[in-house]
Amino acid sequence: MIKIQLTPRIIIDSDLNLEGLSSIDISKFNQSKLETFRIKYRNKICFLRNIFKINVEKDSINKIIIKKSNQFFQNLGFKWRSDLLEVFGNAGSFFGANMTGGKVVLHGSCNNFLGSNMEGGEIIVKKNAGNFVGSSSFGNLVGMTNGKIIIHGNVGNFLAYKMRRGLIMIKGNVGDNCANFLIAGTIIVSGNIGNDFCLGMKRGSLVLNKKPKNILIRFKDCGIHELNYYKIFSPLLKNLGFKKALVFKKFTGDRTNLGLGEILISENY
Amino acid sequence: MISNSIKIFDTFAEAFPMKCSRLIVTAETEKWARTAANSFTGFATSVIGCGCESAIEKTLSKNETPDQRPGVSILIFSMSSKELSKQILNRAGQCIMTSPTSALFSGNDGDIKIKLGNSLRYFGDGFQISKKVDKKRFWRIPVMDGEFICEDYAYQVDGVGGGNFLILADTKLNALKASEVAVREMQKIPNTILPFPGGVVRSGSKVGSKYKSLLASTNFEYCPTIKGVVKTALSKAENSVLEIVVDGLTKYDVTLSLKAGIKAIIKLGKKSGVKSISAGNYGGKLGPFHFHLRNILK
Repeated sequence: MIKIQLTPRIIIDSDLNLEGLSSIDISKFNQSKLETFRIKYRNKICFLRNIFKINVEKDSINKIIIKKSNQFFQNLGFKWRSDLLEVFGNAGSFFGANMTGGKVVLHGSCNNFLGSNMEGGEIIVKKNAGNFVGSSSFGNLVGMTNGKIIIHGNVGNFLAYKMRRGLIMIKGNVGDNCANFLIAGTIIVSGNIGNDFCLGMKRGSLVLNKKPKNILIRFKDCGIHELNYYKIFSPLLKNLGFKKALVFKKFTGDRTNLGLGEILISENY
Repeated sequence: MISNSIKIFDTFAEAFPMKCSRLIVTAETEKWARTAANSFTGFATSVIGCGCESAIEKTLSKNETPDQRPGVSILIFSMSSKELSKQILNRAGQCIMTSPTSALFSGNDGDIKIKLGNSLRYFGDGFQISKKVDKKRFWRIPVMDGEFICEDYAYQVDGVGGGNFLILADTKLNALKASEVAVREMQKIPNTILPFPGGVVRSGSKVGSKYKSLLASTNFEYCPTIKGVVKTALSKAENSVLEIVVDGLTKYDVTLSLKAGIKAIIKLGKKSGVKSISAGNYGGKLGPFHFHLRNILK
């Protein structure tokens, strides 16, 4: 197993497109191929060695570590397939977008479209994320279709827009228009939620730890229930601040389009 | 071979390859998990007449179940994949889904899928909810006490069915007491079940019958009340025989179980009234798994 560590040689102050990074096959590692791997910086194609100092070591698992990253590091983890990508610092947009497997960890914050159109794997963000997390990106009818996103900080607007399947867990607060046109999947929010959430929701679940300001009239009150299903998540929910007994107030909607999505509000707050 | 005054016949038990699956049933309390499992495993003693053999493998604590509730693990065996699927689906629908607060999960992985929630979901009449956690899909089916949670698929694995031994004792009561001791020890062995009532069979069978329509009939060699009129396998002092049948995931598991049972009886000694221990086989022609009693005890 191999650990590849990339540290910038220069100060990155313009867009650095790292979308090709997922095509590096770590298991068939080749030093010369890696050094001449092509990436885009300032819209010009250049070799990886020109931008990064490359350090290769043996490790217990295959992984790529990127140090000193900032908001200009775009498309990190784009179409990521396997192995581990660990990023220290902030990241730009499309972090983990279209990824199909493996694990991507960001020790910082990122911009928009985190995990959009994701098909599998796991993303962990230790700080905040921008808008359109797990959503559909340009030209796509559905958002993420599988996988898991865990965000320890806050998230912007349009979280899980047209999300098709998967799990998103947010430890902090969420902006406006969360879970709009949600098709399926589960979103768990520990903090506060903004306005106009779950508009046009078809199916799927939004689990809230804190009571929102208001629930749209288009959602029907289904009463208070103990839902055993969420006991499967109970270790994760406890970490997110949910208390032991999983009793929820359930709303179903959006009934204007005969949706059967559910908003579950924890009764333990 | 005589061990602690009990004769061990130089014979072997003959067992067969079977298709198997493990299921986990959970509920609010252990009592209701066990009730659901008992219902599921009812009328599942022998593939001859029940289509499958099934029993509770063990009780699971909250930490061992997917939904952190008390549960039990069930093993179910059948002769074909088709029959196994049919039995699991019917029993899950009628016995687990109907039981209050229950949930049903797969207890093993495998390549061959058996429909579980994938078929039962239609009971939800369109209000069922599908949830995917990692690579597993669960169905939340609305029922009158809340929701029935059921995993999408169970998985088929290969198993070994029909490992057995016979307890030949002087009286009915002594045979029963010895078998109870053996069952208690055998139930501690993981990956195995004893599908018969209380783990014990009194109507051991042989293949075929004088009646053409019957596939199996009484094993008259071990029937004490007719030992004067048939070629008997019993001595004068042996007046009651009970059989213990074991199904397991592997040959090794069955061997461990048989060993635990036989050793427990040997430990009882002469006072127990057990005269000898034998095993049922069909001359080695039907089943590929042979459990030689004397080898097991080595």
